[in-house]
Amino acid sequence: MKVLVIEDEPELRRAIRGYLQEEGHLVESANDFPSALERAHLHAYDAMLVDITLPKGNGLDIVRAVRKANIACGIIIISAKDSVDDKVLGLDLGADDYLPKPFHLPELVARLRALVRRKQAGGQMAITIGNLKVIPEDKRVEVDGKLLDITATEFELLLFLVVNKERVLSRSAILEHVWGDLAERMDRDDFLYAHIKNLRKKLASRGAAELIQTIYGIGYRISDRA
Amino acid sequence: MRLLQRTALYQSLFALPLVVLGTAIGYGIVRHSVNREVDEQLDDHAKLLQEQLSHGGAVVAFPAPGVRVRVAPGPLVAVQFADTVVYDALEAEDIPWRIGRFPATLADGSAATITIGRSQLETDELVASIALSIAAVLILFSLCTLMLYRWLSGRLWRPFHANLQAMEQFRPDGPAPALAASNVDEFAGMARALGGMMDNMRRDYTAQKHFTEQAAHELRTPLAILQGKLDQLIQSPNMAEREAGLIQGMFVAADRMVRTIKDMLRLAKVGELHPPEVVDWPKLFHEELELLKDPIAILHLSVKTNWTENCLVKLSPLQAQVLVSNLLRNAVQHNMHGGSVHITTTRDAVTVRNTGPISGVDPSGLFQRFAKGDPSGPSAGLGLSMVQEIAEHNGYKATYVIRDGQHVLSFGRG
Repeated sequence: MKVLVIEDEPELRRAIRGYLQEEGHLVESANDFPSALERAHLHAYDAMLVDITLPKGNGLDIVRAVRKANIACGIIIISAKDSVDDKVLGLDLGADDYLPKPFHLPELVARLRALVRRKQAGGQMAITIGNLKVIPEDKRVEVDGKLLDITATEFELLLFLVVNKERVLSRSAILEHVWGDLAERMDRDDFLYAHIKNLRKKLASRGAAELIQTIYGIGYRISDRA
Repeated sequence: MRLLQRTALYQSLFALPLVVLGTAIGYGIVRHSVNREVDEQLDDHAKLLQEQLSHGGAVVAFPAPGVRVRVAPGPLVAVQFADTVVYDALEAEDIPWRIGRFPATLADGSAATITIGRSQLETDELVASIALSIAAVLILFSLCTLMLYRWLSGRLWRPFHANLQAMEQFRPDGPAPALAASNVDEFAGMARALGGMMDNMRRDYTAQKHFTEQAAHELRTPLAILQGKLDQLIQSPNMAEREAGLIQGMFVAADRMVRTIKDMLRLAKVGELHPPEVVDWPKLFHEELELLKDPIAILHLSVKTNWTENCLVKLSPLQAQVLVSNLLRNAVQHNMHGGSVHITTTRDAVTVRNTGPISGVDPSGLFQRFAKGDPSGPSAGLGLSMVQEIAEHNGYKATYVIRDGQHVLSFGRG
């Protein structure tokens, strides 16, 4: 996937860029309004990450310009402003998603994946790992082609792990993604642990390989490598 | 008691002795003049009699109606006047008389005393009616002054009352209230001072709110960098246990910072002015319970609800949602395995009761900002101060007590 990162903060830009490159994406970046606008018009991207407050301009104007020029490209606004008004305005202008700062990079990856899935015709994009198949659109999980009975929370958890497969996910990133606002006040480690335990049990009962690895002291990773 | 009522009361209290005293003095003066007049008449009459007696004339006992004369032998006395009461058989009542005694020398040269009495019946009536007139005038005068003063005060104090009302309704997040203009220097000065104070308060409030929002936003970008770097750092293979522990500590610290920022912004938002509405409390609680079903299930909490009465606690939708969310999260977060949460609404209050460790909890301090039951806990301690903030904004009271070993948090009319 080809991604344009429009962010004026060099360290954050570098972090996003590095993380997405490790994911195997092709990443380009822009640090101010004119260069961002130029790149957006010159090259074709699958997705753009747009910061709202930029030197020499406003990120929302980029969204407006891109949509006006009918450039087919997913847009995620990343902003330090977390207000309903900004969000509504951004989405009205044609952005596909709004991610308030600070965010975890795995969360950004998950949003990007979801965005690309939505853009794909038909939207059928199963993610396979080992003998496990996750079909996001149908909220289905199959083990060796057989449907696995799973709760909505467990599905969210598994999907987040799967879209970030082979990456170590911190507990706070997982909690934030699955439970959102609720994680704020509820981050008991045993809370996440209980769900992972249930998920592992269900997967094991259907003969799925042991895919979810515990990274001691940090979090979890899903991987089909030993 | 209002200022006008109080001044009216004082005025009446002052006017009452004035009327009594004025009437008494008026009565005394009239009485005195009338007596002097009567005494003069008695004196003239006595002079005539003395003249007649010295020439051996006879004395008529009843020379005119209401006049009596008596001559008795005796030593010469000095002229003297007195009041007395004589029973009148005809009227069948005591009648006041004025009596004068005069010395007289009879034709034979012997001494005698003339006593002349005069009925005071008519003069008394006269004096009484004059006194009554004085009282009437005084009362009327007092009443008129009272009413005039009242009317004048009402007019003069009008800007004061208008400004007082404006002050009572003033809120730093509301529009600037219109202060009544006045050409009374003191009131104009007060309005100026008040206006300045209110403007300052509004400015400070806005600046503080703006600062909170700005600070929160400014902190978000460095936090995003920190989290991003951490997310990258944990990808390194073969991380040692020590490093993992350090990184986990950083994640926890970053999380806490994120939460504090969110709470600060929410707290700034909760203070905004919105009209209160009737709230469907059962619905709101059920929605929030649905969100909390995971932690409730994990802790095996039993949740009981009791919607006994129609709850009249009114809040704006945002405030109601923040309140319910904070009450319930507090109750779940500080609960224990197998514990319970009990939600009750009555006409005047919303109450959440929950089990949980109670040692070391000081209920009185928990409403303060950044106060925490558990100092190392993940929350910033702003949740309950938000509850408090909502209560203050709407004239309600939030109370937290420990009763029968349970935490009881109530919100409503004190």
